[in-house]
Amino acid sequence: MDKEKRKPSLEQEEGIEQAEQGVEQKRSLLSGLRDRFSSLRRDNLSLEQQVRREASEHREEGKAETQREIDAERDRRDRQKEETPQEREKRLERMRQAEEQQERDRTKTMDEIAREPRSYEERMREGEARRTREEAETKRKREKESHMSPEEIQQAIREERQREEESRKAEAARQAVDRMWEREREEERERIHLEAEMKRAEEAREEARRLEEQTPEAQRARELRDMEARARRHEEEKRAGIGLTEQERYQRDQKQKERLLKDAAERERRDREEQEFAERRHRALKEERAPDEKVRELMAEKMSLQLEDGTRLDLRETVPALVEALRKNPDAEYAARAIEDMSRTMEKAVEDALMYASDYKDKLDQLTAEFQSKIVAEAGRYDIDLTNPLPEEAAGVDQEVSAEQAAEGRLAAALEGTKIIPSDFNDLMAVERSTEKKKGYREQRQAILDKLSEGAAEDGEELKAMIEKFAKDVRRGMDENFL
Amino acid sequence: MENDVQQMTEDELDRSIEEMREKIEGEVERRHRLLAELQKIRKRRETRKDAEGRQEIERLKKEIDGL
Repeated sequence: MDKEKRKPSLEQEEGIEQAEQGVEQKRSLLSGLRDRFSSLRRDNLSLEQQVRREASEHREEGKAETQREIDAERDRRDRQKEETPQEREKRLERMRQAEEQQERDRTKTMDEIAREPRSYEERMREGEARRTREEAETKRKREKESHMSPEEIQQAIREERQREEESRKAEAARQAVDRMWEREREEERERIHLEAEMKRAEEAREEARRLEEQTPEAQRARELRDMEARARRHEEEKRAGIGLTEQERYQRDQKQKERLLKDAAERERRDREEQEFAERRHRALKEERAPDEKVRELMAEKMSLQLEDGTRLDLRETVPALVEALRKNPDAEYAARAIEDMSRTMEKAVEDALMYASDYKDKLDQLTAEFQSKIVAEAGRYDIDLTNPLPEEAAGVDQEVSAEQAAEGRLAAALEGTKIIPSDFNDLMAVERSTEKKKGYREQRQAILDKLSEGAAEDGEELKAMIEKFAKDVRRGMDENFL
Repeated sequence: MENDVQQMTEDELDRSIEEMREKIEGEVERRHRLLAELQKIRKRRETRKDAEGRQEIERLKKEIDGL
């Protein structure tokens, strides 16, 4: 029985073999882990050196930048010559302190990085405790195993394997959870890092804005704005009476009072003038209904013209005859209209001169001179005798004239279907500068009038064509001259 | 080192493996921190360079305006 007990069974041998294999696997795992650790350690050292190098470069850049800022600031101050040496010393001291603080912050960060992971010792202690527990458990198990029968050992091995299997599963689950946690931590770190970056970018922008505001141009603009604001405020305060002495307030009130009195006097004067004007107008309107001797006298004086030979013309009679004589000549239509208009203006001016102030009389004299010279000029141009603008004509001539007038009437009727009206011809003749064209229009018109006088029918082929051509030419002439 | 591993008992192996795991985990954490710091430093340098570039552009603009 003892012999059988000492001799290991097949299953026991199998177990021993598996245990040896397990130990081998652990050895190779440990070797792999050591390699991995060495490699990580090496990488981290190199990374740390890189971080230190870049941090140092960053510091140097920061120092250079600060120095540049200090120099720029000093130059600016020197230029402006506003800073006293004490102020400058203080400012430089402040900048040095800020730089030192930054330096301390950077060093602190590097020290933290260089330190071993904080949780390492704790984890080691926990691991030690766990291992002690496991060792005690193993010892207890072995002691128990030494009193076991082969079946019991077999059973224990199976249980052990099952536990190992469960443990492996649990470990896998734990690792999965760890990985998940690690991912979350990574994301959180990234988020914090991004937030910090954004904050720093914002600070850099703020700093850039601040520096920009310190440029001489910005400062000048700000000073200008301040000055304007001060002037406005001062003006407002002045208006509101703030900051004024008793004397100034009294003077201001006096000035205001004077201004108000002046405005009131001005208003009163305007009202009085309007009132007088209305009264004069009322009187004048009454007088218009029954013109007195004065109006008649002035009208007679102004509406008369003394010729070179001493003849005195009453223009109130001469003008209508002159206008009529002018109208007989199509070229003089504009002159006739102008004289008619001026005559009406003169009559009105005489009335106004009597009604209103004396400056109207000056205006009336000017108008009279213009009117008289216009009458003389137009009469001279169209060879009209002012003493007899419409001479008595022979009966034959009268008949001829009436025949011509009839023809003109028929021409006007014939032109109704075209795009021109009879007065267009006169307008065109008044504005057309080319004498050749004028002659052409006149000849065309005369040829039509001759045909009509001869008794030709308006709807006759030849006359119709002539009228259409005339209308077309006049239209074109008008377009050329008026558009 | 290899001899050392070969002569270890199973318990010693277990303990060493556990220790090594802890150390590796620590190094991994440290690596993360170093990388984050490096990134931070690079960002700062980039920001500073951007700001310098902007200032340089402003300066040149003013010079051109003054011509």
